[in-house]
Amino acid sequence: MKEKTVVSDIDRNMYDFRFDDSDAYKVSEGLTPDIVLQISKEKNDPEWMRDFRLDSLKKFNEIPFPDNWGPSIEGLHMENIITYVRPNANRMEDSWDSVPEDIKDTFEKLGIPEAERKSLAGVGAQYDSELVYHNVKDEVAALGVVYTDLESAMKDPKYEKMIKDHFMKLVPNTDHKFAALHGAVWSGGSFVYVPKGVKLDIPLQSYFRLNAKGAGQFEHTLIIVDDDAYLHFIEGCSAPKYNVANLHAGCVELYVGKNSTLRYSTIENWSKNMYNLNTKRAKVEENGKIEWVSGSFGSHVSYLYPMSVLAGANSRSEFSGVTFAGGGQNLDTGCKVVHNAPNTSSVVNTRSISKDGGISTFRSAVVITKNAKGSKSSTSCQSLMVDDISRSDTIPAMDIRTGDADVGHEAKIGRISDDVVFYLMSRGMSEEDARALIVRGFADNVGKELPLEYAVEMNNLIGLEMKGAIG
Amino acid sequence: MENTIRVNSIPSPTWNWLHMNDVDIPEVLGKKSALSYEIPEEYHVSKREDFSLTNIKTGMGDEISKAVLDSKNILSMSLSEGLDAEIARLNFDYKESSVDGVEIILGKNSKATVVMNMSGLSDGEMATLQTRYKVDSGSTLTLVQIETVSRKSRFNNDIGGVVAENGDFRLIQLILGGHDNSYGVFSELEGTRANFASDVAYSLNDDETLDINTVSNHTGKKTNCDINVSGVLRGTSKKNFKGTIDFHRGCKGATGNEMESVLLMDDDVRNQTIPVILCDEEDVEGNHGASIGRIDEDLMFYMESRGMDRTAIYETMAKAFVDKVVMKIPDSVTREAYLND
Repeated sequence: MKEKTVVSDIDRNMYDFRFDDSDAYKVSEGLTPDIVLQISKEKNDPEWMRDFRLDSLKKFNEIPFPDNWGPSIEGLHMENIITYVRPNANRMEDSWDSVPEDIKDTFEKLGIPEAERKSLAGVGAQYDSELVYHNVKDEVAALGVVYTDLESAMKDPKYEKMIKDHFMKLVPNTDHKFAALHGAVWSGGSFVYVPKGVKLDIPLQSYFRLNAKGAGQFEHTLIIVDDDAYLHFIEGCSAPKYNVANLHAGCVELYVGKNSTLRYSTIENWSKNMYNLNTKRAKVEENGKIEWVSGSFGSHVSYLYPMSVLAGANSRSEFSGVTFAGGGQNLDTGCKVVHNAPNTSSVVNTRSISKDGGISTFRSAVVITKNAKGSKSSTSCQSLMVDDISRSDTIPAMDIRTGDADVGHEAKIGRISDDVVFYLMSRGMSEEDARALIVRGFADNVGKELPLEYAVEMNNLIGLEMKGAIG
Repeated sequence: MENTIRVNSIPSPTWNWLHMNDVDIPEVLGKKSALSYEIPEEYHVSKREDFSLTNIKTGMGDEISKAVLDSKNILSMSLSEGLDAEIARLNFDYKESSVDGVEIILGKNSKATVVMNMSGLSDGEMATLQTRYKVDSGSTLTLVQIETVSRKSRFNNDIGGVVAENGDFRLIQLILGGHDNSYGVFSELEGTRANFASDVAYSLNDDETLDINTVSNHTGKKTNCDINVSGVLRGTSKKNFKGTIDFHRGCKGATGNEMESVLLMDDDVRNQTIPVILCDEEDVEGNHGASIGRIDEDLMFYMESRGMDRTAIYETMAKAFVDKVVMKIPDSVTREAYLND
């Protein structure tokens, strides 16, 4: 007899546990030049970085909050945010046995060491403001792949210039208020370099855990994929829930070389007191390709729009995203694509789900410049309303500045079909299971792009969110 | 620098760096009216200094309402319950910068077609027209607007109104003139099964500009809208279309469809499109589609195989983009005139 495959529901406690952080080192709440200098000193920054931090703080104070679009961030008070928390760990380790017990326990619960053993080429784990673990498999390192923390790489003569040439060049500190904030207080994050011609078959993963109450996490991920190379990078994040606001304003800069492909997958499951104001951007050279796979499930408020700059001829961008907004969540997600070279192409395929009063907004921009003759773009966004107290908006923008382009767009908003629910119930499913199945299928555009373990996690998150959806 | 006013603000703005949320235009010029009309006797017609339809939202916004009210050039035309009127023709043959307001009020179960022709204007001049409407239950208003003002002038065309239960507001607009055009429509679908159908065609040349802001506001149950915009861009012309379908809580069973087709004829044109669906109600269905670019290669190959050269194919397709809207004009005299143009 065939055995049924059972995917058990996950326990929310998997994400919602916390440890005492009283012995961690913290800066004072708020944002002042002294705090920025304190962080810089703590990091032993080179001079250029210290100056950059101070310049970013100046920009942060000059740039206004966006006041005419996006979800409200009134509940976020920078004067209450602790911008730097160093956990009670001496330094970054390359063995889990050397990581302090409570931190190791956190990542064990999240399944990171197990995933590393089974299916990853390397892992980085950040706890609050610092990386506590970083390791890459010997055979991967032997290929010349660099996967380490950004701060030590910045001080390594081998990578110093490379980092100085790329750090916050794609996302300048003038980009928006929270990019400036990031520039001032960034801490932790990974540096990846994939040499020319190296195709990494198994993914690298970074996991970001924010444990401290009222804190911010500002990690910086810098990935450079040289020509003719391939990399799949997975990013995960979570935090326990507190009754005060936490802030995540990370920054991801991706450089994709000629004929190379970078797949960047994210399952974001921040706690529902988190303001997730993250910036991600990729620059793609000739014949290169960026593939974004993005699942947004957590946060109280999100502003998240990974951007692809197609800078080389024939470069491509694919974005597959799913956003699930439950009660108390206002998730403003989507993407931006700038076609700035001939014969570039982009495909955007997203799904949004709103439930229990959650608000999801799909926001996008496709810009095709005069340089991008012969370019093509296709956008499809679908939204599903699970109940009558939620909200879903789609706000896609297209700016086509050449006549020699083809742009298609389709959007659809609707509810779960009663007929389909009835059919599934007639086959023996409960209404709750039927609806959860439909929602899982709806989000399949992302699920099918993820490695199996992560697709299962995503489906479990959907299952968890759909519990109690009936009645 | 000339004084400007901000108009055509999208209900749900997006990134400011795109410069698509609204548009700044020169302050409204002129005070005089350019209206002459042939209105069937079924209508009650009066000239007023203000609108009887107050608290009406329009697509272009309050600045235009203020300018029209300041002009005191308002024509009110109303049709009593149960009447099916002949076509009313309103002609705006502009000799100088002018401002006009028109309100159309339909009683229950009535039917009206109003054809507006806007022409004239000299170089550098501006015409502003605001139309307000109220379509009572069971009534149908078809509003046809054909704009052929000078290619060196500015035209502001603003519309706003309310549709009651089983009411139907059909809007047909041909934008074939003007150097700079701003068009706004706000249609409030407040009655059950109220309907709004909009068909717009435009053709821009040289460095002409067009900014359109269309809003279908669904508050009534089972309301429906169909918004179709198609046009041709040539030279260095620039167009921004903002189309919003706004489903409010309680509009159960509502549906909305929006479709835009843009034919890009030259390398240096600029097309901006922002089709928005706002959804605060579960039991609705909203769809949007857009197709922007050149002629499909398969179609091009087919037509070339029938002996047409590429220039002729593009010109034929450009005419077809406009003609498909012309075909919807219910007035045969007007329709034939533009089909043969």
